[in-house]
Amino acid sequence: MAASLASRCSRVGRSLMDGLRNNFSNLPSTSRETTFGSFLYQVSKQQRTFIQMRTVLKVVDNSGAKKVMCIQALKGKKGARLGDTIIASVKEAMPNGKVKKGKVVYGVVVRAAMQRGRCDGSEVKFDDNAVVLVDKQGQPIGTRVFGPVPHELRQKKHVKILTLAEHIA
Amino acid sequence: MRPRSAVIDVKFVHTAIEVFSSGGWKSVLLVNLRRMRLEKCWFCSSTVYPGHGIQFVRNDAKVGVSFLLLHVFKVLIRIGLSCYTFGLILWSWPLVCRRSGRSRLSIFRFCRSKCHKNFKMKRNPRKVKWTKAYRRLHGKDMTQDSTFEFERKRNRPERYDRNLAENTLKAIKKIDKIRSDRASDHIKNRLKTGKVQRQKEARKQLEQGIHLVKAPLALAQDSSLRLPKIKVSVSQAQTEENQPMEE
Repeated sequence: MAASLASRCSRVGRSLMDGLRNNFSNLPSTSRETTFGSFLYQVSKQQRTFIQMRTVLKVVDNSGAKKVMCIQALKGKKGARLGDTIIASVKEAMPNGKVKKGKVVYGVVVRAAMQRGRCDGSEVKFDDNAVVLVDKQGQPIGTRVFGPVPHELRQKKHVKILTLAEHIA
Repeated sequence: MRPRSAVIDVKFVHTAIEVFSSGGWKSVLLVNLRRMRLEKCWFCSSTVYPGHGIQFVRNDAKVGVSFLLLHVFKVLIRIGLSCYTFGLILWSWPLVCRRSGRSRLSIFRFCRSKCHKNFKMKRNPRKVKWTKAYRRLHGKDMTQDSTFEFERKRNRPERYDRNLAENTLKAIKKIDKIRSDRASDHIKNRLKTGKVQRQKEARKQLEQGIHLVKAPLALAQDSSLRLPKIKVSVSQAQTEENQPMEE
């Protein structure tokens, strides 16, 4: 009883307070039906495509930036994909972080909603577009990486990000 | 051919069973050499072979524990709950913590675009008739069997042992046969009950609807349906006269 009350309270609080998305899944969802329910808004009918100029990505490290906008993909004509490096401008940042708003930074795309083929021929896709900020040499600016990252980063020589990551998908 | 790996998955047993039932021995060795896993499709529970399908990684957890705690307390203060309830919640806090977790992700694997599309349409596999989940739920397939134990997911790798591998390969044939036999028995039993049911229904219908159908013999015996007999006297001479005329 108390547990359910607590979780309900926390849901109310979170939905009021924070701007974070897809946190409903934190609730005790055990069966498949509830997983489906929480899934409603996460996959839209939108056609997912490359990360190109003006794509806004979430920053999933503790560098201080929260959101960046892609201004250039360093590889590929159409844009960046999972594992590619982009140049971005910081749009939102924490008040006292390493990275300030308006700075131009480099970042590695660690999650992309557009599917990407794997070496064995299968495909992988994520539920959001996320980036980890790096310097020009490819070393991460932050010291932590949140959420899952793909193992393809090893081929791209971003082993540091892989070691910091919580999950490797 | 690449050299044989020194470490063999225990999961190899189940993998090999799966592969053998479809592709024969060559494919068993192939899968073993590549050390690939055969995953199950999230939607239809069929096997996803290496190089097939798509996997969708969903990041579930975003909120840290301290963040959650803060909100719970804030809401509690606002509501003004009693100390008793407060204590209860503190007591149950580890539970909430475990649930929220630091980072959770769920990986959905799909064997083909059909399953992926059904997932995107938010269909529930338990309600879609062609999935394994539906069939198991509705008693169409065998659900409990000791042969399924071989197919469990084991994350601990086993050291390569030649004898073990040999015995495994021997066992696969046997286990596969046992399972298929049991599955067919299950289906047979399932259909048997259906036959009894059908016969019962037919008997009931016969009893209820017999008045609609009457055999010709019964009609003949029923006096109310027969015309009253009228005796007509016919002289023998007349018939004899008529016969030559017909010729």
